[in-house]
Amino acid sequence: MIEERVKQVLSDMAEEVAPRPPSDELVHDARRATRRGVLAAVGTALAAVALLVVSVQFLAVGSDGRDPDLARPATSTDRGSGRQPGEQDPPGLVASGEIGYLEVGGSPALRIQQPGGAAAASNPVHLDADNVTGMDWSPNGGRVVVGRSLREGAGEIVVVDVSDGSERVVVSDSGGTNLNPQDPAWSPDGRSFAFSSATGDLYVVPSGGGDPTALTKSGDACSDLFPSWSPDGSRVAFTRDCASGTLMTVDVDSGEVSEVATNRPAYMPDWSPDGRAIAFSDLDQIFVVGVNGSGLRRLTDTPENFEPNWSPDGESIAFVTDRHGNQEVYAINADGSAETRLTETGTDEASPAWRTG
Amino acid sequence: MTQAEQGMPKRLRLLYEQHALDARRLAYFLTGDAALAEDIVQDAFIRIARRLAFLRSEASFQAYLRQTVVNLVRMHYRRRDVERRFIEREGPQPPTHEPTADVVERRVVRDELTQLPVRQRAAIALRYYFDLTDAQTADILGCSQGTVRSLISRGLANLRQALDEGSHDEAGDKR
Repeated sequence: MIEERVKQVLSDMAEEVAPRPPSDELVHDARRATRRGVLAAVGTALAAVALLVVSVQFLAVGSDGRDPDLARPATSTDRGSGRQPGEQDPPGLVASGEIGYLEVGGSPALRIQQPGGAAAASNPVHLDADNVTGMDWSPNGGRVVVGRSLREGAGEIVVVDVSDGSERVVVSDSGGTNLNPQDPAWSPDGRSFAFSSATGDLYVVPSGGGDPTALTKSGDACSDLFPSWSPDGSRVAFTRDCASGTLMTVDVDSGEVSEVATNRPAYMPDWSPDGRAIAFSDLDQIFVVGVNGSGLRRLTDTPENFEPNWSPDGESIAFVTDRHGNQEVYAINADGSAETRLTETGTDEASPAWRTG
Repeated sequence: MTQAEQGMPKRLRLLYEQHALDARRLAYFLTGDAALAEDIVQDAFIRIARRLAFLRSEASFQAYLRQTVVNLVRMHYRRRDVERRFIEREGPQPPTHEPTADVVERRVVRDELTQLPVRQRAAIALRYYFDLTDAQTADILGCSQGTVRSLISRGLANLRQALDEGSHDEAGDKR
């Protein structure tokens, strides 16, 4: 068993690592940080007192004169993409429109920007979670559905209105479902979500809430992951991960499952808007394949690209890359041309999704 | 306690005593280089020392330390060609005597493990050495549990393939 070999090798390697004292630099820095920490705590306390005074004054005089944009959640019309009026998209990238993505380093947030916008300049919609696990747009582009983890082994599916940041929980393990739902995908008619689960099966739930029903049965040795709806809503593409990832589709009404031949591991599929092709990653490169397994082509050639997402016009594909040592969002035309960097934040981004509607 | 440790703030010193070795092991799994692993862990503690007042619990400290180590390794391997040059330079030395089949297998797995993309390496190490759940690993890597499962299965498939090819080479050598 390869798992046992891996454990042996890691155990061997662990034995080669001996305890070491902290470096002089660490000791020096820790002392300095502690002194700064005391000063910061004093500063924070003073700031809190000042804020309290200002708040009391504000309540006393009412809202006259306040800046309406202060502390206001992001709206769909003031997402400061950083792009100036008249500024063009990067040359070569065919698709335009806004792209949403999850910022997963630190406090998770949803950000939205234009392909030609300045890096991560859009107003974030903060998501109250330790970790977020995938997102997708509603068909009209007004809301997003987000997966987020609650605590050890539990999660929920939440709909977030990007105009005001308000949330509505659709599936929650705290409500007793015990599914640990992740990677939600909004159906094209807007009526359902498909999602993956710690049970290993895919589920479908009405977008207004209700009991989830199983869409697939993966079996004990496999997990069905990363659902993506066909544009007509009749099928869902997904990865069946057994010893490796296989690209599959399932008929939503009958539950009949079919394999799409890719001749390589296939993860994180995304169905093209014209219904003819599916983009996927082998966790290194981005590929496109016909839904009948024909015409496999590779789009990228630098390492570690994943989470492809088609633009609504089918011209370009956004994806995440780890090539810079952190996850950034890129896009590339569907013919493999004009690979373009969209974010440059230094933190990790995930689940890019072109805004629909 | 060393003189250096005595000079550290008590909370950080205790955290260092409890977690530095595990962090060094994680960094070593990810880099295959003990000196580099040491540098990364010291750097991780320096960064954490600056934020110590904001960390809520020891459990969150351990997860944050592991997350910081993984991110520092990823930053170190910012360019894949740098990583490849490192592997070529620091790869295991040829054995001084005829190795057994078991030793050969372990060496093949170890070599291949070091060449996996960092996220696959990290997911495998966090699962098979630190015994973390998919959820815990997902929080450290900042991804879904499905992605964790995919990283592990993809990494294991690569290792399995390397072992198969290694055994075929071995059989070829014997013929």
